[in-house]
Amino acid sequence: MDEDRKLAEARYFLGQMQVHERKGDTDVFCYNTSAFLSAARSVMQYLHLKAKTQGRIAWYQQVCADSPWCRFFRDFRNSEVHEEPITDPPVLTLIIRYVDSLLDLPEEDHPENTTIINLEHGMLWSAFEYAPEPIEESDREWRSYAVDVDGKMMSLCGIAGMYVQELSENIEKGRLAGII
Amino acid sequence: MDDVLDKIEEAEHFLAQMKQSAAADDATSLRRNFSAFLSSARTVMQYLYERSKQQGGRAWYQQIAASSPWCHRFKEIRDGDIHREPYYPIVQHTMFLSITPEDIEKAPTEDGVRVIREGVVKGEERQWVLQSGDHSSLLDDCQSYLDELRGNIQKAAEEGVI
Repeated sequence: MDEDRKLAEARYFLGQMQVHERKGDTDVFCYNTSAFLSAARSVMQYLHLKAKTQGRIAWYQQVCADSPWCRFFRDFRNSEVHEEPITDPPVLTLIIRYVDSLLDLPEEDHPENTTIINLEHGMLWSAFEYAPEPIEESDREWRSYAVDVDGKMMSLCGIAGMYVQELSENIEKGRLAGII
Repeated sequence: MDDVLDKIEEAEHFLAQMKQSAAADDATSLRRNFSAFLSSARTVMQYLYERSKQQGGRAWYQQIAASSPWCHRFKEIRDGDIHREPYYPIVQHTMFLSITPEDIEKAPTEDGVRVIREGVVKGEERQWVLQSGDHSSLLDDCQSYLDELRGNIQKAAEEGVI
């Protein structure tokens, strides 16, 4: 199916984003983000066209209404295509700190765009659903290109992973509804 | 100006990736990078359109678009790829034959047709093309498109659009 092919393409570019985020290669990260936005957006555009052709536009609108990441990334992609490219994304820093117990941790101030993750010894933590690998205890810091989501800085790769998951579910809904 | 140049550099990046994919005979990677190339390159003209519109120069943009055959061709491909179905460039095999009048004379006849079976194939070429029957390669066409876009950026700068 065309939707599956575009979703595979989006996953490929998300993988490239993760590779170049790790390398700290901002330019190539941004290029691949642009390609990701375009490929992922096509999944919903293909569904839209098929729903429209079959007189099922209400079904499509309901799917969109239930897909917060699709709406967020549609606006993000439209801005990137029509207004200005992504060139210098802010960096979100995650500091991973191992503690004896997660109970009764004190509140702490930390620098802007920095998040402290407390883990008990022996715990592994997958930073984002589509992170290349889980963070090991030897890792102490994770830097991620970020984007503003309703006033909160979030990892772009992290939310892109959630977007991909949402798209995958929407394709399945399309199959169940007989749209594709 | 910087935005437009960023986008053309992005398109050049994906064309370079396509060349690597073609050299490695990796069809999946080539198609994905071609899709990304289409999107990046198209955005160059979209930025020029937005800038010219803001300055009341839509007629200028329309003139530029009308005199840019590569932009026109690739826009159609990109629109289909984005909105309808993935666009897949294809591999075209070309065989180079050398046939002399003597070869034809010597060839056996089957059902009234001369059939030449051997000794005349001089070479074979395999290249990616936009569509069947194209004489130029996909990579050359993409390069021509980028050259046209760079020319349009130059015109926009001279016109004061960017």
